[in-house]
Formats: sequence, C-alpha cells, structure tokens
Amino acid sequence: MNTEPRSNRSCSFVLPFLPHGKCGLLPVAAVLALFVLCLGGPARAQESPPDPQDLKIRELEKNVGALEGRIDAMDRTMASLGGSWTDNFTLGGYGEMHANFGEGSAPDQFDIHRLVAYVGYTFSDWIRFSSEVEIEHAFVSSDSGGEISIEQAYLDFLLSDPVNIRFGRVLVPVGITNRKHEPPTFYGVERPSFDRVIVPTTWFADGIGTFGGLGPSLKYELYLVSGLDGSQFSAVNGIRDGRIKERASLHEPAVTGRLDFFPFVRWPGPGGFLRLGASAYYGGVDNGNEGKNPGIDGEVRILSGDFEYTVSKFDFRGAVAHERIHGAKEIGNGTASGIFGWYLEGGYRLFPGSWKKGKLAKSDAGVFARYEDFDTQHRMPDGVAKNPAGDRREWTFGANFYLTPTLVAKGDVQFRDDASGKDLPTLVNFGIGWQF
Amino acid sequence: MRKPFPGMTTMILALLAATGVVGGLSGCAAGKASIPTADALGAARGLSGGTDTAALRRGRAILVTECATCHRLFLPAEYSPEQWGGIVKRMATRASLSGEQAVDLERYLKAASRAAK
Repeated sequence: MNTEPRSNRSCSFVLPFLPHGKCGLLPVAAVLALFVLCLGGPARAQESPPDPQDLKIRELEKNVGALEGRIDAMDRTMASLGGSWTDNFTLGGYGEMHANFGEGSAPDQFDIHRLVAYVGYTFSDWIRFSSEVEIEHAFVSSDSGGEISIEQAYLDFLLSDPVNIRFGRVLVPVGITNRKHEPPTFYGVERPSFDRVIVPTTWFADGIGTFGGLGPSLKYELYLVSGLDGSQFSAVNGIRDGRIKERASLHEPAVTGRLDFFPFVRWPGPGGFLRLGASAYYGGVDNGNEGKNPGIDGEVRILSGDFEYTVSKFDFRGAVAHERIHGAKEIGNGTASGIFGWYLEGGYRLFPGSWKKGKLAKSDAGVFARYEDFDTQHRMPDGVAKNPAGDRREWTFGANFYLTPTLVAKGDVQFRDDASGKDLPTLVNFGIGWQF
Repeated sequence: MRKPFPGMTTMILALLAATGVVGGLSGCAAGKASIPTADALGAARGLSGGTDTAALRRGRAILVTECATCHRLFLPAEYSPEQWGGIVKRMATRASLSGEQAVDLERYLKAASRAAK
C-alpha cells in the first residue's frame, strides 16, 4: 500500500530542485511550447525530407503533452490536499416528481417521489466518504407512506486498482437499477416493476467489502453485509419488505457480489458500449431491526444477470433474476420457494441534430418499449397454494425528453396483466427528474 | 391460468429482432467509433505509441468501466475539451477515481472530443 501523496512524488520526479509543493511546470510547458514554435518556422521553410527537426518537434510536442498531464494531476491533488477544507466536500443530488393516473378506480396522484442529497468528503487522496440521504413522498409521519432514510454512507479506502476497501452502508450490487437509479439514467417515469419486487430498489445493507478492477475490462464488487428479515417476505411483494432500513441485525449476514465485463474496452465493437454483468446474493433471513430476530430458519439465494448496450442512437438493457428461498413454508405469508423474473427494454434517441442549438443545444429525446415478466410465486413449497396475483406481465411504452443531459421530462403508459383473471388498470404516468 | 396477453409473443420477438437488426445496421452505419480507441486517437495525433497511447488507453477504459456504472455513457463529442476538464474534476471524487485515473480520463476525453470536431 502506497500512501505517499501523489503531488510530492510528481514534483520531485519532474523538478527536484523546486521547493516542496511548488510545481512550476506551467512556465516550463510554455517555454517548451515556444521552443517548438521557434523550431517550427525553419522546419517549414526548408521542406527537405527527412528533416530531423520535424522529429524533434514531434518529440517536444509529446513532452509538452506529458507535462500538461502532470500539471493537471498536481493541480488536482494539491487542490484536494492543500486547498480550503471546503474544497474537499462533494455535494450533489437527484430528485423526481411524478403524476400518476390510473384507469377506473385506480388512484390519481401527484407525488414528489424522491428528493435526495449526496454529501461526500475527501480525507486524503486515498480515503473518501460518500453518502446519500433520501426523503420519499414529501411528508413523513407515523401514518404516511413517506420516509427519510440513509441509503448510502460508506468510506472508501483506495489501495490499488484490484483491491479497495468499502465500509458502511452500501448498495447491494444486484441488477441494474439498484446501483444506477437516478432518473436521467433510465427510461420510464417509474423504475421497472422487476426492480420493485424481484430485485427491490433501493436495496442497501450495512457491512464491509472490496471492489476494483481485474484488468481493464473486468470489474468486481464483493461484500459481507447485514441480511434480510424473512418474516416480512410475502406472496405478492416477494423479498421486498424484508429489507432492514434501520439498525440491521447481524445475526445472519449475507454475502453479495457482482462481476461486470466490458468487451469493448479494447475492441471498439460496432461503435458502442456493452456491459455484461452477473451478480449473486446468499444469506440467512433470521434478522430484524435492533438485533431482535424473528427466529426463522431459512436462507435466500439470488442469481442474476444483466446487460446494457448502447450503439449509435439505440439503447438496450435487460435483466433476469432467480431467487431460491429455503424455509419458505416456515416463513408463511404465502412466501414462495422460488421467485423468477426478467425484463427487456429497447430505446431509440431521435432528437434531430439540427435542433441542437440555442436553448436546446444539449437536449435529447428518446422513445422506448419495455416488457417485464415476473412471478413472485414461481415455485411454491409443498402444501402452500399459489397466489396468482404474483404472476405478472407488463408492457411500458413512453418517451424521455432531456432538456439537458441531467434534467429529464418523461411520460409513459403501462399495460398490466396478472394470472388472477382480474383486469388491472392501465396506468399513465408523467414525471420530471434531475441529477446534479 | 394466465389470461392471454394480446400479441405478447409477437411483440417480444419483434423487440428482439429489432434489437439485433437495428444494432447490426447502426453498427455498420456508425462508421466512426463514438468512443474511439486509443490507438485510433494516437494515430490521428501522430503518436507512435508509448506513454501517450498508454495513457489514452487507460483513460478510455475508465470512461467505459467507471463513468457508465452510475449514469448513461456521455460520448466525448457531447462536450468540448474545455468542458470536459470541469466535468472530470467534479465527477472524479464522486466516482472515487485516483488522481492519476482522473488525469488519464481527462486526457482521453479531451483528445477524443478534439478528434470529433
């Protein structure tokens, strides 16, 4: 582990005669640039190949480029180490407001769904703190659906490319949306229903783990975290209500992790971006708030795969997950022993380039279609009846209009169906979301 | 039993077909890579390999593996080289990038943005 400040290393390597912390590379770069210009004149005048001065110019250009890079690095490191203490803070956030309309007797509502603040602090160039605090549904009381929660609060210890340590409250790294849930990052007003009941978002847990890169195109995360509360599992919501948001019991912790492969890191592919991910979760379910455990003998195991593919103006993504719950019969509540679901989404960004000027210079727009098939009653324990309302399918069609890359207006319509035979109301949703 | 969901199979097949066909066609049509490789950028800048190309290669890898983990992939051409400087400075902390990683990323984005003009 090397904890030596990078600025000192860089300064002493480039200009060892300068006082500590005084990296006067900008003048050097300027002089070199001037030298290059001076050499350039005669070089152009004599046009006789091969001209050794051309080679010299090329060499000096490379040196200037390298020096620019070093200056950037030192500026950044010195800003984080030697600047005002306020420079070490990182502030940000995201939010989304929705208007939901349902066919028939389904409720129509305006919902300030999420308002989130990020606060981060850089202790040194290898120790960083990150947090995410969220208010949901605008109002919090004992009889409202609103909540305030800390969704992320962790310290990163950046040791090396392949091994870094993360400690605190982290996002369970399963699926796509749980880790990437800011409104401008996904199509549709609401998150996919798959990401509500199959891989419940936002799903966080408390613990410790490691993350890093295993080569330029392979990344991993691996954590030992607090587990789920199996007593809250149910027939229609699956494992969703088993998330522990307050003081999580550490009675039966879980292991979770993921691998992401980026095949186009070295190969440009068809001009696009492709990520292939696999994730897993395994742990006991005898956990509760404040260490009060429900006394359930059971385990949950999740295996999931997902992908994201962007090529030209097309965006595709999809995820699949299978969950196996041991002890489902003892848990009760109609809990299934097997849960399964998947979704596939395709989008096309159609904003004409000729419209990208003036106030719309950074605007974009896209249309999408998403199909979801998910069943929280996929496999039942012996003697437990299946609830057909858990077996659902959804089509969502809609559009995103990005006023700027991080401010988006959305609209969609959702056609839903389940195996119960009831007519589920069609939903129409409008929303606006942002990230900063 | 599930009640039939009109056209479901047809629509899934259509979506899958559209994914393949459109992806293939747009790949052919894309021509110039939107995330150019370091070698292509190096060749355009007259670099003969070595440190500069290696730095660009590292920067491209960071763009693909780190940036798109938390938000959509912004292409180098979407911002000017000057704008990328401020963006990387702001986002590097949030993404837990080291100082060297941030420099490599910024150099790649600036070079690719210039090349796209």
